[in-house]
Amino acid sequence: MSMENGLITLSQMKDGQQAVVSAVEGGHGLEEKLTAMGIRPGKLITRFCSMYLRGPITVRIDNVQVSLGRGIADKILVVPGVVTDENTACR
Amino acid sequence: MKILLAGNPGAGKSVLFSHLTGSHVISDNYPGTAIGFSSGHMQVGQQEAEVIDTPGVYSLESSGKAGEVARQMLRSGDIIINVVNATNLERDLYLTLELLEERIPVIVALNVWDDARHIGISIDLIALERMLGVPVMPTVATTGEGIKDLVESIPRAVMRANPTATREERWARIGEIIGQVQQVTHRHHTFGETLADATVKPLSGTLIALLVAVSVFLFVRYGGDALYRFVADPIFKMLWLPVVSWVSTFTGSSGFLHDILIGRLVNGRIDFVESWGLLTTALYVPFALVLPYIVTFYFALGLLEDTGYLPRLAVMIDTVMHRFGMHGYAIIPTILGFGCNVPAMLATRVLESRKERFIAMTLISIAVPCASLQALILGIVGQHGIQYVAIIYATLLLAWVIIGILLNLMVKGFTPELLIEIPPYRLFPWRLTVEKLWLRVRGFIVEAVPIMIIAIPVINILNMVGVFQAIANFTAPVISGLLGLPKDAIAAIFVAFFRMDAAMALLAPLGLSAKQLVVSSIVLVMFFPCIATLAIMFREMGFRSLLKSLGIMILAGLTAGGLINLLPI
Repeated sequence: MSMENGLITLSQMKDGQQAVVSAVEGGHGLEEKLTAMGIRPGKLITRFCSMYLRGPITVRIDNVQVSLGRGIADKILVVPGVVTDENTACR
Repeated sequence: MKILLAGNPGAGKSVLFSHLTGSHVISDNYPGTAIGFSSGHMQVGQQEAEVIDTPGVYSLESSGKAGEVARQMLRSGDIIINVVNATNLERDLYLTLELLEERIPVIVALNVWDDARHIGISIDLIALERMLGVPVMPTVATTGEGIKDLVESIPRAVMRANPTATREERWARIGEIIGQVQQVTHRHHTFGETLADATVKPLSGTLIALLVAVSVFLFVRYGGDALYRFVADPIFKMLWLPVVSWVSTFTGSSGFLHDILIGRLVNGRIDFVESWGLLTTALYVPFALVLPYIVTFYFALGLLEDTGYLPRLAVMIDTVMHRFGMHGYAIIPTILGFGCNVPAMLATRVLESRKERFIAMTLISIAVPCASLQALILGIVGQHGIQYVAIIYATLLLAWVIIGILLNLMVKGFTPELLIEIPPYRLFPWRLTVEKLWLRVRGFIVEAVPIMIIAIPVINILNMVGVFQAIANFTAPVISGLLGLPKDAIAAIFVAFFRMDAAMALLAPLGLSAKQLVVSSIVLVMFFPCIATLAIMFREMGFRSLLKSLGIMILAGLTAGGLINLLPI
């Protein structure tokens, strides 16, 4: 699903792409957990890598790496940015 | 005076705690497993102070057990040392701001100070102190740097009791602080980081995971074997055998006292495995046969835990674990189970849903043999050839997969998604790893060995009075008919309830064929947990679930044993 006003979900990002977190659509519990790990609106997030067969996605925020399942990634809305240097690409 | 250590998961509280108090706790480089707390004592100036290591939380508002415990403990303390990870300053300051709103003096230990510098983060300590209004002391808990200064500064802790702020206000304040005190210099990827990244990328990560699994198995198998062959066994044969031989002659080579102390002579000689006496088998099995594998297994596990590899493994295996109704984190309790099933059952607490925990506990009990049992399997079955050991492990793996898939389909409930922080690697955690190894080995010696020393004479006496023979006649249809074992093997299944390793040792004198040994090993692993594991499962899952779980185990054990019995091996 493609969002209006240019938002996409974390699942729709490409490996190595940067984005700014816009919102978390998953109830208070999920929002709280993600905030605790540093994923909250306004933060720059880099999708680092993802596992085969729709496995978990690993992202970077500041100096933290967090791995999260696709179901959670579907609920994180971001403003997509550029695909960064190859160092972060998932190969 | 009561001092509380508070901080985010992975800020280094436990390591700091062991430095402050000199007492040792088992700490791991993966978040979320420490739900309880530890306490110890330290000297602050002339005063004796109690130090409490609270569970790691990101916020005092955190839901869940850890948050609840942390909130309760805060009310009972006199001073808080807030441990902040300098590499994650922004995130960690949230808890700091919450603590500064409480009516309790706070001092900040800015930990992992060395790493922050290495990765190009510079923090203006004076500005940070000014903006927070409490002392900030840089520390490196892993090396002990800065800890002396921290201790001396404890009396300088300040109670701010700031007015309660909203979440948005706190984040805004953190934004201001970070803007003023922190500077990040960009720098290039180091070789170490490239290697670290490789462990979470799909292709390289999967290959590395397989490599790690194989190396750990080979290390435990051959390292344990070497310790047994070149250290433990020679000590018994050269130093202890003359002593027990003398005791044997002195007590007249037979009679009740002799049979309790030394046991039965096999071909006129003492046999450390088969004689079954207090001074022979009861010491030889735990110290010579099992201890070498305990040492090598826990050394390997300690390295995996302390380097921070395990959460990466959880990411790699997440997709597979979802087929079994669990997420990737369930691999950590499973691996712990290869040491001892009891801490493994406790570690399933990191899994959120009841469904996940039921499946994880049942699978661990069925398909994950503890180190003691594996040591005996390797020792006794291994004598007939490594291929028989391979059949046992292959059967257990197959059972794990099949039962996992079935349980996922049958157990009601939901499986949450993986959401974990991947901690940075710690490359040379030797001191921690060796300390932890010693704690675990000591645990084995003080907990497992006494049980052996009591169980061996008791089993011996039960055997002498013929209790097992009476039961054997009763259970013969299943034991002999279905599993193809001699009816006396029932004794081992009973004994397994108390000590799995003692049960395997009991099979040794029966003269079983290789195939019968394979069948009985599989039945011992799968059929029923030992009493310590059973007690923990009862506490963790409740009576009804335990009954279901036991039903699955018995069914699985008999099915697997019966099927192997039909195979031409």
